[in-house]
Amino acid sequence: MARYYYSSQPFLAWCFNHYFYGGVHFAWVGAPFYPYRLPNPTSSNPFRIYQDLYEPWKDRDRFSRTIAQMRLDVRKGVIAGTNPRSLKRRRLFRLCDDISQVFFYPIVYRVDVDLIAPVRLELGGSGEEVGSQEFKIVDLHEGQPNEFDILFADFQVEGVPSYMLDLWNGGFTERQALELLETKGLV
Amino acid sequence: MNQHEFSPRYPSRPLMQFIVNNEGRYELYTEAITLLHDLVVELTNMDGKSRFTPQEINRELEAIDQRLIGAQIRTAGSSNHTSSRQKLVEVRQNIDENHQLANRIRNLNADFAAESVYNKPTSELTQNTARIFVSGMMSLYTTLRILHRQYAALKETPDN
Repeated sequence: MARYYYSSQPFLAWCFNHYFYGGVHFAWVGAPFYPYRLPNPTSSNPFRIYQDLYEPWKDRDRFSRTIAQMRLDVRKGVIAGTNPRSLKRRRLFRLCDDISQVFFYPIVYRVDVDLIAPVRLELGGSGEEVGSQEFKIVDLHEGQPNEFDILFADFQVEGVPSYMLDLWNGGFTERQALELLETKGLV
Repeated sequence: MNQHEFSPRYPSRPLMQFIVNNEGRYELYTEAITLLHDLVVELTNMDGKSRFTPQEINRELEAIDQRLIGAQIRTAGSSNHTSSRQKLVEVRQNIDENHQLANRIRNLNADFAAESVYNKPTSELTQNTARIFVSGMMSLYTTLRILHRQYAALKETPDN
């Protein structure tokens, strides 16, 4: 089994996990980063997902199917991470629906699965059906030890707005992060 | 088999307006379509991975239905009671029809798995039907998102 598994996700998902779900991250991880000639289907191919997200992000494609898909995926995280009828759920849903595309900049989680207890590595989907190398991990933790690294967070090279860099650098409370996303991110 | 058979059932235009012009209804309905999308997306093998188990989705959809029933009861005292109540019934029916369709697509996949000599459950047939459903759900979500945003902008305009 490979040691490093990868998950390509929009920066918005990282923000939500980091600020609103107590630093606990959800990820479907696949290996290797580019599983060429391996059984991983497109939905389990971190390289393809990165490409499918990066290109419409770079092109500011307002009609991108992948970005619409990601909005739904981040919404699923909101359903899992908030209480029904809560104001927090409503505010996070609004961000999923209306936040600027700039927040769908793709980043890559790299997970050292040797550090994750096997019971936390859930096999599912094409992992079971066609033997693709992938797992679902519902509780990746930040902190010591960090259970994942983030790759390709090249914010300065890509020229993203400074408030995204501020969010990435941390230092905000949950309330401050929510207000920042609502004031700067909603279009 | 034709494409229409597996396309999600869209709400009528007046029903969409009814959904988007109230925050609570918009939240509930879009939550339901997010869950229904999740129920089928795994079968496409290309449009993403599922987050929830079918049991979790059934439970959440049941909770949404109960909240819609609660909303129906609360309309009793309002001036447009009959119309709102009827529309809430239609919203519940629409979610239920789409839930049944999603389950039908999942069952097709399970049937194929049972019959297949290749032990390859996600057949081309179910991938195609799942893609029709998932694409339709994404279009429905996008349409509602845009209508909701337009409604919110209209509400914030001072003249309205």
